[in-house]
Amino acid sequence: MICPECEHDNIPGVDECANCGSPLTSDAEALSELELSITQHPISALGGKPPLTVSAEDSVRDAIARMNAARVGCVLVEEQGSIVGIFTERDVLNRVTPDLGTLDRPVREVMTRSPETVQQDDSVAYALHAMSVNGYRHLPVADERGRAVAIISARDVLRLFASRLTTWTAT
Amino acid sequence: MAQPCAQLDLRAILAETRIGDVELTRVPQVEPQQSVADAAAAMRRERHGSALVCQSGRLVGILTERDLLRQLGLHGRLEGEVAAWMTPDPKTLSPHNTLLDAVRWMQRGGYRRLPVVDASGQPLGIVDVKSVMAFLVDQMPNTIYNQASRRVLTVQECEGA
Repeated sequence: MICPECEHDNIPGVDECANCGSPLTSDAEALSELELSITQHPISALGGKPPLTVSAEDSVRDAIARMNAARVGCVLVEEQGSIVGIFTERDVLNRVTPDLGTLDRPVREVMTRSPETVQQDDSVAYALHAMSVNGYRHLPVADERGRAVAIISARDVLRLFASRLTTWTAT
Repeated sequence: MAQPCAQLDLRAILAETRIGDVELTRVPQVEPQQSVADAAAAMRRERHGSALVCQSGRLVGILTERDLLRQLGLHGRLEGEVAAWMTPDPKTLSPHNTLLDAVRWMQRGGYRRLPVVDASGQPLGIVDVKSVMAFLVDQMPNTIYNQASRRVLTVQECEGA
């Protein structure tokens, strides 16, 4: 939580700013239930999907076959167990459809390198920030060693919102 | 900086906001007889992952990047007409529907994008998951943008490739 007085970045949940001592709770109290919920819920609460992964040396054709078989719009590209890229249907549109020769090239040549990743204990609000600021539809969830553990999509976030909205309707 | 905001009832805001009052995402329009390759080129040019398929100004289908993926998987090339690969008669919204209607359809039908058409069936644009998320984020900017300075873990670029 950023202190409104001195802009010090405090760890979430503290009552006062570690730098200048200003109270931080008044803003927290003013937050709606949903806002509190998304700052407190970890990304693991979104569920997400187990990631579909391919090796950087696999062909684009193979990656597309895997995406079609799993009916998903993206795969994570790994090298030696770590995420080195992401390959999405948008990359297929922009980089493969203009030159079908790329179908037989390794996926590392057309993937998007070094995607931003999040961790399971980051907040939903943090994921929403990363998606909305950068326009990402998918975010890989990595463990501390950079291995892919899940993939979350804008739709997973919307599903959480929708379920909260529905709960409210019922009460 | 952080302004205390009153209890925010997002559901009420979504239920009160008409589709006609939000900025719709503009997407390319193609005709059913056009080639899939042409449609893909239009999508690339207009930087969007879908195209609305229209005949005589009326919406008759939607073609998305998923359809291109499917065709490349099956045939290894783009061929044939849009009509053969599009989803015909997609679920649509009218400008009088609300954003809450859009959210419900996206959840219920699993749609990522919903075309918006006027009373005569003419397409006005689409509402997609991204635009709904952007709208929600705009309703609680402090909560979201306070996340800005959080640690960003970016994996190392692989060398040499």
